[in-house]
Amino acid sequence: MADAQFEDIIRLDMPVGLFAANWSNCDRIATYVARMASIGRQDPPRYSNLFSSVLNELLEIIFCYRAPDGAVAFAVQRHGTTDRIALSVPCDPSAEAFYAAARDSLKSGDSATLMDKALLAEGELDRRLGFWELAVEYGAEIAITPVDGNAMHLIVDLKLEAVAS
Amino acid sequence: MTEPEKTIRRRHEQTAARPSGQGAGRGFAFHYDENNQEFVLAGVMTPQDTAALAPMSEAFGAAAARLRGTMFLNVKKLLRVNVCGFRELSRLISIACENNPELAIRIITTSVIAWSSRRFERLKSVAPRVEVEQYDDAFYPGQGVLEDTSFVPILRTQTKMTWRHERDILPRHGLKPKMRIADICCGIGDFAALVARTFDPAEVVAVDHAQGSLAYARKVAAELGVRRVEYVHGDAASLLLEDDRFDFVTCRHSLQVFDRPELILKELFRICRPGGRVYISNEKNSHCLGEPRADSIQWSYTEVARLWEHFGMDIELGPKSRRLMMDTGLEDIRMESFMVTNLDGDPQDFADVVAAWESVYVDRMAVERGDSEEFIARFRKGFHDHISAALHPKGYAGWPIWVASGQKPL
Repeated sequence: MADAQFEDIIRLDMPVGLFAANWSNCDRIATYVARMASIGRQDPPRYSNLFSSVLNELLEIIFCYRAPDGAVAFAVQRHGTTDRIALSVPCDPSAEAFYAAARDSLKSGDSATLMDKALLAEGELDRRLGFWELAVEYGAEIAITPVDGNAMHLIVDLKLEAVAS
Repeated sequence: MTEPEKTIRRRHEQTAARPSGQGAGRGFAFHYDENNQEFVLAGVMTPQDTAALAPMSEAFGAAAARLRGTMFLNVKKLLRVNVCGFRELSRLISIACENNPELAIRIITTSVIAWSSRRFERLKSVAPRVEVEQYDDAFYPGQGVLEDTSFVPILRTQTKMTWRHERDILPRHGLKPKMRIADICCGIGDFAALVARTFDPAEVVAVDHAQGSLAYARKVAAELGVRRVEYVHGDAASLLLEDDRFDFVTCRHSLQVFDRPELILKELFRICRPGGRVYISNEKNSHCLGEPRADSIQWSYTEVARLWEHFGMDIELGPKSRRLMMDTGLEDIRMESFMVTNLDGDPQDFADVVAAWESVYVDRMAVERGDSEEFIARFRKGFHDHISAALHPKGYAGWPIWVASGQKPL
């Protein structure tokens, strides 16, 4: 699907320092944007609840994996029943390695098994669990692409009307 | 900890445990009700790490360790949980079942939160003796009947008959143009559509639990070009709508269907803004009347009241509205009644509605209660006599309805 087919609903750029100043920013942004994104959907509160769950998970991932400086940019776009969340995250080598590993795991096509294992694993939370859950529970199509050697683009396509009904 | 009350209840702001103590983000609440062996989670659980959940984890572990039988994990009002929170819940459940072989855990979800049941089903593989129950599959007594879409045509006729009265009554209860209106238990949505067309509201949000009714409502609204009505899936006793959002909140012919109407009134109160009004309508079916054959008609409708009571519903609720509203904390209660009759419009409409009642009350409910053939024959005759009264050239048939409204204190 060509990008030109998608219309912008909302765009937001934030300095990393501002975004990463408080964990609750993830929840607040997700809640606000989800309300915007739910306008025009069949059942807005239900849609908003699903959308905020997805967006919060993505924002929590980039909260944990990003460069200390730069700007986070994200957009919500729409084409018919598909909503797209497009995120651009400045990355340091550690964050790049995380996203590369996440991309490889998503390509393996067995997100459900990976998710179940991660749920029961001891020790630190593997934040890739967020991606696997979006793929399995919300039917998200996730593309992770490195850009210019110091940033990552995340494109997440969602058909949440189907999940909601 | 309030052990004497056998309740552990704490409010936990997820960011409060962070060293900075800043960012009072939306939190979640948990409490444990020892009497019901129920651990309740509500709100938005998005911790940064499991340390932020320590008080909840500790309370859950303590409760699970000393229980026998089934522990209920109620997540009906858990609006959102991130992977960190969900993983912690998985861990707690797994440990609880491993350490206490006499414990089973039943997770109570709701269809209203679209992700909830499917996601929690996954925890059945985490540990043995874990079950998931979607509580609103059967959460009020008349659900099977009322969410049956075969009754859609007759529900439309009913609204047509009551609307003749209510369009004049509603302004007396405070409905004005440009208001934000919620219609809770909207059914097939025709009342919300009529309100939208007649009263020029700023918005109408119409909520019902029956997806079939909502689909019908959206279709009809689109066909009629009615805009500004959002039809939303929801549970009247646990709405996802914000506090203090609406100027006018309606709930028609529905409190009488639920076994705990006070829970719904509490929600209507919550979503109404201070100074706004809550408007309800209900029946007292034993006061349905007709001539000729008044005695037969009255007998059957008195039996309808008993029949509903048998199934945990109160079709006599109408005149109790004032007390219920006052008990909820509403003020300036206004109350009146009106009689839908065969003279209001086409008498055949009245007769069709009574025939639909006969189908539900006699053919379904009385049969399900196990009533005798003799009873069913007499019971049915009352409805036939009511239909005859409605269609008789000199007859009169009536269906009384009580409306009440109250103001949320400023």
